[in-house]
Amino acid sequence: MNSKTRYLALAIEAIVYLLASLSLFTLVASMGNAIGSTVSVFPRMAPYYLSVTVLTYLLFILHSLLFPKNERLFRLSLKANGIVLAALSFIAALSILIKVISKEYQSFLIVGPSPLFPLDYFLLDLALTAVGVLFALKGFRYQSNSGRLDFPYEHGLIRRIFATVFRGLFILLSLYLSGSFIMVIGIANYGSSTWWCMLSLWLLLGVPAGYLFYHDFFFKNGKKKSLEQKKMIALFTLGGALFLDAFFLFALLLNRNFIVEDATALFVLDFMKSVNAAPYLVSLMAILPPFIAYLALLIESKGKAKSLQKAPEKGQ
Amino acid sequence: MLLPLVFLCSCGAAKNPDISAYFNKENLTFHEGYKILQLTDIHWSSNTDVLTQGAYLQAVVKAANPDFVMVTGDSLLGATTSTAQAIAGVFESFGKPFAITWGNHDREGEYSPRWLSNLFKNARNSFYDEVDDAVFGRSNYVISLTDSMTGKPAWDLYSLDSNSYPESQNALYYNYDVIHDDQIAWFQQAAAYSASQNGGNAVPGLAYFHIPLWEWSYAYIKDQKGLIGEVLENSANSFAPSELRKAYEEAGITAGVRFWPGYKQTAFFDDAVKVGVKGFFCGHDHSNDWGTKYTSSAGTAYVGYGVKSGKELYYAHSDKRGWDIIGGSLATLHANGKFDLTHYYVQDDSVYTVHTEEVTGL
Repeated sequence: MNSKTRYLALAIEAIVYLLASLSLFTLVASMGNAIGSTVSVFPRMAPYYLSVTVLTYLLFILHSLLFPKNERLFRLSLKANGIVLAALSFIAALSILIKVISKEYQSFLIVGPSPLFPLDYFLLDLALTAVGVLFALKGFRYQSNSGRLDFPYEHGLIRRIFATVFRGLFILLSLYLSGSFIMVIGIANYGSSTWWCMLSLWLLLGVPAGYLFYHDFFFKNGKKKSLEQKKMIALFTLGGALFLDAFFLFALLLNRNFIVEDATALFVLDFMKSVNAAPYLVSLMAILPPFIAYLALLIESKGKAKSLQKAPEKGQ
Repeated sequence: MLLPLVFLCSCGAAKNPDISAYFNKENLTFHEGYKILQLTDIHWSSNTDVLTQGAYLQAVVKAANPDFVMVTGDSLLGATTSTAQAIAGVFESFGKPFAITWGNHDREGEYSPRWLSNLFKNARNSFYDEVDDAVFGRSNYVISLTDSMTGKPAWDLYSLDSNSYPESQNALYYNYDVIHDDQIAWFQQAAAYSASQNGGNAVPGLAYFHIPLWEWSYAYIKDQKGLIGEVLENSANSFAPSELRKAYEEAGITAGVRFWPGYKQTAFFDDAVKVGVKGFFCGHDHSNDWGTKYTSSAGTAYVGYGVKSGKELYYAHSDKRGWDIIGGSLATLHANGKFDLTHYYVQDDSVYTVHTEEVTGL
């Protein structure tokens, strides 16, 4: 894959990320309502939940294809994920069709989670079915390509498991926060005297997506970086995150109520359950990744320093 | 980076409009037996089947046949703009004048509060108003029903925004807000203005808002049976203020506080009773439809819940009465300053079966 094609693929990943973030934002409110409801709405909303899940799944597949560990896993990912994606999105499309035919959805355009619901998700599911089939075919007809970039995992199993779980969770949360970030533009309480407080929150909402964008486009570009370079990047990012967190904390201290006034729509689950979790979540989502990265790099550099000390001892 | 600039440019100075600006511009004529239907906690979301639920709300209005519909908050939760437009369309379809108060959840949707305000303000038959002022909250306004003979106010319907979550919030959880002091001061001005239009005599009124006052709890401690309805919230409010919990314990009520009031007691009940408010109606606690008369040092008035309108989110079924606690609450106003109250329990079945309970002479 040449760099132009790679950047194009990364751009597609970014577009899927944006679509998934907006879908996930609406899904969270919908599921919050569904869980709190006496009469279950899960059967009615199941095709929608499946469609959003499939869209989010596509994002994870794209990432695994853009950053494969090795050729075997790349091929396996194309085949297995392609089949699962095609199957799930086909089921989602089919279930929408059944609900329209059975009049549970009165037509292909009803009032729901999106302006063109369920037509938009039906078409999306059909498109994703085609994408899944395409991936699977590519996998089955795969021919070895020496120009492909691999990103072999450099660390041990425990760290790998931890990183997989943490990253997966981080991406899901960052998708929701990115959805909020975009939504703010449309639903902000423009003219509010607490606009600058909202700005502090808005910037923090965008930070996780910023990390992911930087990671995929610039950090993990196949070029080897030294430990010192990585430490500098982590430290610089941590400094920026701390600054934004301090700005947010300052805003909260001066105007404790600004989230209630201007941002209730962004954190529906908090207000449904009367839990004040969002300020902690957005702050941690900004600080944790560079903090953990810096900590890991410090441990790594200490380990390297020790092994360098031991090497001359052996020689003596 | 355009966002902060837009924020900056649109900042405006707080205004202090004349008190008459809070009263309905379009005249509503009072007649003996004028009926106000309270709908509450409709809770439409992006999951709602708006055609089915819209038909249900229309059935409630048809059963009660009111002159005016007052919606006391939480019409929406986690809704999209199309859901909000759909509910405004249903309110219009009643073919009756209507008004809304804000609940704590109405702000939680994919729209700005201002957008929602404009939607309700511009809807056909809407008497919802939001005056550009410095008074806390949004839905602070008065619907005045005038006497056709004298042109003087006969009854006033006060809409108050009981807001959502207070500034003094805990670091880990949100309490519910109250009607703020400046809103109470505004209310007193409005009541005084109305009295001035009535030859200096207090005008009887009803107050509609979303979150119950502490007086609901105090009234329940004194009269658990109440005049109408039941307290069916099945869990105790673990965040209830300690003063209330203590009052319940002292009264020997072991089930705990099954009301979700604001975080502090306010002077609203006392101040409102003094100027002629006869009834206080809220929503918020979906499973409660209980109400009774409460007497404080300032006077006596009815305090009570409406009936949750529809099955969206959670609702209660009364085993004692044998029906779902969904429908609406109808106040029938009399020229002598008294009112009757009828709860309409409209069942969500194929024929919309109706059960009623009534209290008269309030």
